[in-house]
Amino acid sequence: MNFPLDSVQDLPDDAKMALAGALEQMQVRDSLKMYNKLVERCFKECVEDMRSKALTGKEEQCVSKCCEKFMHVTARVGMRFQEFFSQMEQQAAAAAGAAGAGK
Amino acid sequence: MADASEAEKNMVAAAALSMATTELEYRVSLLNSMVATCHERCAARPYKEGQLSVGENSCLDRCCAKYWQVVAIVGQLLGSQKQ
Repeated sequence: MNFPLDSVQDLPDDAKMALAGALEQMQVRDSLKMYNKLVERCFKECVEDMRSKALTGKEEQCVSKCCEKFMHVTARVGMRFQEFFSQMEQQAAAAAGAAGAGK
Repeated sequence: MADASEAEKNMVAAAALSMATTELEYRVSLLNSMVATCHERCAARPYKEGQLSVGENSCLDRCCAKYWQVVAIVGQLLGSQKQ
């Protein structure tokens, strides 16, 4: 089910450049999406009081903590994600190697 | 004859590129849903502070491990169904 991204090495140069461009665009799009999601999340969780135009001190603090916490969660989950993926790719490579040697 | 094989090579490269892009998008989407789900489960509310506590860290590690196991199981089931 997984297309091994290592075989990207075999692509011709212009395809590699196109892939790099697509990757960069995906990153920009993804960070913009994350910005929006984070604003929505922290607003929903922290801002309740519609009696004034300005955020109360409590709401402001809540929003900062909310952002900081989410960033830390993202970092930690991202780290584990990388570990799992590289573990899986290693296992796949080992399995492929064993199958090749068996033949 | 040379032109035909050039065109064929280009088609194969284009297909590979499109696959790689799709795979990348899948990985990003998987990461995003993992972050969202584990944040929902593990981040302590009300927000007392920005830093993660030891409990939250452990919760996140376990959440990620379990999420990954679910990814593997579902992948296997879908793969076996296709056959």
